[in-house]
Amino acid sequence: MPLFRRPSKPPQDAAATPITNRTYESESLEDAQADQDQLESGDLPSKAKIRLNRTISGELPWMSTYAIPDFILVERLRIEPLAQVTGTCYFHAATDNQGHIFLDSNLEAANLVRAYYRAKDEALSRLIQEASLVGAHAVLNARYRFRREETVVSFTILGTAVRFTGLNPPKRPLVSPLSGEETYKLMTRGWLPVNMALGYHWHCMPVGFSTKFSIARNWYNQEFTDVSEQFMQSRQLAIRKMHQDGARDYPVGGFVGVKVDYSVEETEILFMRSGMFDNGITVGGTFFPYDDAGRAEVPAFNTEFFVTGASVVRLASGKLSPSDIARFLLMT
Amino acid sequence: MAEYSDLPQDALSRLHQESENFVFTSDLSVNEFILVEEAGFTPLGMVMGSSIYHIGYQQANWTKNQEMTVLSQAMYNARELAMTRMEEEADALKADGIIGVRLQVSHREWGQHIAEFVAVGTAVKAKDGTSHRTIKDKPFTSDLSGQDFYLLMQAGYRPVSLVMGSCVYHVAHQGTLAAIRQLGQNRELLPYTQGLYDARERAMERMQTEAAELKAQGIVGVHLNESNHSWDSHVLEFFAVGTSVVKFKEVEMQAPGLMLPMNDSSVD
Repeated sequence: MPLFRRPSKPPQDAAATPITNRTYESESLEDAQADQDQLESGDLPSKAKIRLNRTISGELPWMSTYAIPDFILVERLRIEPLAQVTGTCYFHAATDNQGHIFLDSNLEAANLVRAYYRAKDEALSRLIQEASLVGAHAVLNARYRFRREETVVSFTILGTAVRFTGLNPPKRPLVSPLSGEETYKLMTRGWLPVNMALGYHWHCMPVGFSTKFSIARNWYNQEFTDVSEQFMQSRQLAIRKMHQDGARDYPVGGFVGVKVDYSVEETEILFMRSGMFDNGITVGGTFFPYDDAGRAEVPAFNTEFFVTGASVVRLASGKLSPSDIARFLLMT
Repeated sequence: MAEYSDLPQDALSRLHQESENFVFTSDLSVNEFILVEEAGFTPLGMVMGSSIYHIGYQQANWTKNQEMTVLSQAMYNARELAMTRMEEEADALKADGIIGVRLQVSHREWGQHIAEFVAVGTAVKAKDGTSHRTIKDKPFTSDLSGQDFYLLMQAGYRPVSLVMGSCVYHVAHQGTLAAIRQLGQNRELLPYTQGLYDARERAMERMQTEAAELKAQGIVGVHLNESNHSWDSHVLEFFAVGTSVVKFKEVEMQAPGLMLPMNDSSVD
């Protein structure tokens, strides 16, 4: 549907059909700008705050993203849904003017990795701000989505803020991406879902002709040990980072519902001349001379490892009691 | 039958219950049918409402985040029209409510700005004659399946109405200057964040307002859908939809048994 075709006269609504009479009030450009400023200063858009306040005061109904069986299971745990809460962030990783991503001295795409973490952290902190505003103990059923287009990483998370009946509000609400059924099963076995964690690592490994061409031309079976080793290393680093990320705000007993994504990809790295008498660089026994602009393009392999999971902690050997949860929330 | 003047004659004769040839129709599966009966309801017939809507035009400001109110309004009105017609069909069947409502939007090839909005569901009636109609004397509506409906009634909640909110938002294109300024920096793209954030909030708030007007206590099974409906790539519709409920009795349900399936559905 082409949207920008200019009409000869301003648009006109046909006379309203009598059975629909609701009119939506539109957002003014000033409001949009004010919301942007508020987000920049670490606050929530005013519309979000108004909605949450009206929900918690009972003026608007509570809402929950749970499917019905999940909703009823969670109610049995004396957990009340309060409001749907959300957080989102678009983050741009630094590039040069042709859109290349900078690598650090270890040839890791630190900027990109940072963009993933920043997008996640900003969005998560908005989600938590919203949840704190309604006095929630936890955000359950938090569904999230990472997306990357070129150098822009976006993260959106959407869940149901809930209250554990009879407990005081905590300093920082818990976040769990698990479904109601999973939460129920965990909580009847003494485990409490605590947070969601991300592990991400991206490494770019330049290779010489011996590797590059043996991959393309060789006829016999062989392993490219340096690529596999690099991949294993990326994996270990990503998983270690997930542990660190999970343990940042709460003690963690382990991870469940872990999702893994990885890729190994052929690419090129641009190396820049660093000194006057620098003629080129040697990678894996191959010499790559710099061109007139002082650049050398070296074949390389990207190894990327992405892992997210729900961190859980064991508080009891049997069914969790409200006092177990209260004690844990006080501890953090 | 002057009160249902909005409905085609064919629909009215199909829905005429006193006729000798009346049998109920439903799109319920056998399991759903049995459970709906178990919950004390009996299906009356499939009901449908449709609206073919011409979506108006609105000029978006290329560099500004803004709501496309003409489009939000169009998407809402068209769905509301389809829903209301479906409710009228249910009225003609003297139903208490409609379950399993599906709201679909499809675009037609014979017109670029034309979309067809259809609402389909199964009208049901309480067997004991109690009325479950809304405070506006309309049949209740819900997008719950037969199983969900049964479970909800067992837990002491009654569906009130399918509630929805729509917001069509234009996310600003970035100017060249802004793009150059941020090249070498790691930074958040605030216009994108704010645009999508506000659009989601608006859709949710509108849905909640609709439920509040019907004096519902809560909304279950909320879905928040994003879709572009083949507009310009920077224009998105956020559509929040869920079933609003009220608690009509306190029940202590039997504790569910913990069943852990031994087959791993994640392995093919």
